[in-house]
Amino acid sequence: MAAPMVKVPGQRLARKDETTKPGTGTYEQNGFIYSSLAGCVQKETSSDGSVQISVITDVQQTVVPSVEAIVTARITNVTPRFCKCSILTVGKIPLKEPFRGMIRKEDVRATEKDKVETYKCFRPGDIVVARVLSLGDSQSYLLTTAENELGVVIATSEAGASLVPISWCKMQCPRTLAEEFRKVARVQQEFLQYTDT
Amino acid sequence: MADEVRTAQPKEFYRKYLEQGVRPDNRELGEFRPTVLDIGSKNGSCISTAEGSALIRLGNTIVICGIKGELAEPKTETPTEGYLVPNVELSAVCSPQFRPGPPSEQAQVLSQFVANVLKNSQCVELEDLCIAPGKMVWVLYADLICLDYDGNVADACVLALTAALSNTSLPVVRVDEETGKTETDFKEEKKIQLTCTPISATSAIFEDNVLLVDPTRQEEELSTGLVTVVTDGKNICSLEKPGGSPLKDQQMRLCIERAFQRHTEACNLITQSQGSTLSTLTSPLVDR
Amino acid sequence: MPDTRRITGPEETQSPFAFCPQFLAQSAEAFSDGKRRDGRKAEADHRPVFLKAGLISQAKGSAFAELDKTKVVCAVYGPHEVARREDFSMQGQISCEVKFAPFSCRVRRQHVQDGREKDLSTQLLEALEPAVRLDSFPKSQVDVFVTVLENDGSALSAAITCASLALADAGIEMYDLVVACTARIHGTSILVDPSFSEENLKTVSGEKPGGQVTLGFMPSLRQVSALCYHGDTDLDVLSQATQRCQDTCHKLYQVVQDTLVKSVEQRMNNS
Repeated sequence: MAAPMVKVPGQRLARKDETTKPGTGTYEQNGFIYSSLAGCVQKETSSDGSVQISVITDVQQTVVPSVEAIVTARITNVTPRFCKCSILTVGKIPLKEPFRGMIRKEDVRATEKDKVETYKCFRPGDIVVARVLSLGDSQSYLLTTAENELGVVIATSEAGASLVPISWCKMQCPRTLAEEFRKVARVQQEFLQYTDT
Repeated sequence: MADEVRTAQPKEFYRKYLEQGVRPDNRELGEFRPTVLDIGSKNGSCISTAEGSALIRLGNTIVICGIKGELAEPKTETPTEGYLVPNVELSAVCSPQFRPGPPSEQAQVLSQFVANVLKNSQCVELEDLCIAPGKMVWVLYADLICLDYDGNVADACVLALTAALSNTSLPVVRVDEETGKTETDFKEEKKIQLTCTPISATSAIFEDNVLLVDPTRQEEELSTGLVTVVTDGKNICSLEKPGGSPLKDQQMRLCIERAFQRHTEACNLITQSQGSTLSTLTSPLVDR
Repeated sequence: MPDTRRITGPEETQSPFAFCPQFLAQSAEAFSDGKRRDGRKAEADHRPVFLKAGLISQAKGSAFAELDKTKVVCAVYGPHEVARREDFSMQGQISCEVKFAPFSCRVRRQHVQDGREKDLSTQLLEALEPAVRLDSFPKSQVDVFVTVLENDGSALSAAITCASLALADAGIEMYDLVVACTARIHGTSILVDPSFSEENLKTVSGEKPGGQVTLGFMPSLRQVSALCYHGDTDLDVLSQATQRCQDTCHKLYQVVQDTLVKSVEQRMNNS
């Protein structure tokens, strides 16, 4: 297998025409496609014959939470109206410095939005999987867990043990057998493979 | 997957490794990270604008020390003693936790620690720094800059300082007694003589019973206490244990033993590294 | 004002150079025996450059640049949340800071950032901003920290080249790499990449004082990102000097590109 070509910002990749399209890590100028990252060139041919050229950096990509991205966050504050959290990873890429996020009361669940009690859905210290709703304001990103697959994934009980999910709204402590309320994420097929290592 | 556990539950991650008696970077509990030292050639230093310099790489932690000499009047109560002023700078370059601006508390604590080491070990005779008693003495500014903060900056600083001092040469300054005029002669040089080589060894206490020597940044964050022992080969110059979990007598002895071992290793390293250039900064990174 | 957070020595100190007038005295002679002060032959000769990317493990991206004796280290952190709420904008921001190590110059520098360093920080920011794709990290800020370990002239151009290398190493999207070069105009000669003693040449009596120009250039796009000049010269001498800088930047571009490629390949081999 030929070694992938490494390109650096500013290097010309191809001429822009109807069949070639700029992908991630590239930009277009003066009819040419240039690289904007230092990484390997990837050419993907799509079904209609057009080629998409992108430059992929390995490992530490510059990730900033973007709209519709799935993120993992740790809950830091719980108030009756919203929960504040600290975004740890975007997709599978861990962030070096956490961003701040907020889950409003009406974005916790898809049904019965007004009857939500945030304290029965999240507690400080829980790790949740959420989706980015919008870039929010200057303080934090807006997140939502209003889907079956979103919600709490890891939580510790008051006794200190890891809680085990028993339903979409309850988790149980294996040590004391006490039940605690949480908005639990449904474990999907793809996530099973993820956590199986 | 390992990375996610490491980010979300670091203590669990470490506990699993320590049960086997190793650390995630394949080191034993009492092993120091590979250390590379650059002291510079005999005629100059790796930093030619400084009178003495050294660069140390302890695993991923990088500290560079530069010694500059200036002239000043001595204190009235000690007319034949010069000054030795260390300062540690944890700049914004070395870690995202430090912001540019005045030194953080941690940097101040480290500076004070280094100053204590110098005072207790008396490795530099302050009388050596005297040019004209009561009128002019040398002031040696030892500036230590951390370029990469991956734990155990204290040990790296002490080693860099000792190495830099062992290779510091000052120009000869003469004060004419009759006219009072001062003259610097750059053609002649005076080397600083060290009476001893203080070397330190830090251990982190993990969960009250495991001692990890030369902790990385993550190990420091998870530790419940730190112990630093400074020796000069024969005696203990200083022992610091600022709070933290209590240690048994046996564990304390282990720390001291490790410090003496480290001293022999470090002294060999200093003698071997005399005469290298600033290549450690650019050699391949140690795998985390 | 005494710095209460650092260990201070005596209040008044003097450098030993103050008592050796011939050392710090500025000479007016740029050439001796047909060679420049540091042994280079031609006016347009650049000193040997050594670059390395990816050496600080804690930083997102980092680089080290060595122009013979001038040594500069740069670390890039981010993108992370903007520090102050008022700075909210849909575009990303860059903040730069240049600091000289206390032992980097012949005469010891203070720890506190002085006016010259603040000046250089602004110039560095001006040189880097046009090259970075700010819309790729909205609401966030990227910090660039440069430390000059040893200053033997051309510190600003070394800082600019080092910083753009570090930004590319950090995976920040850029339109092109910025390569910088300095030229010292002294009388009728244009000295490319001046060393510290050449930067401080005394004016030849009867001639114009000359000046110094630093050019930040994006070679692939053929665009100038920054032009910093101070001094007093004729316009055509200045444009000639800028042209020389541009030519040197083209030569340096290859070295910078090779360094980046090497570091990417090394990262790929390690993972």
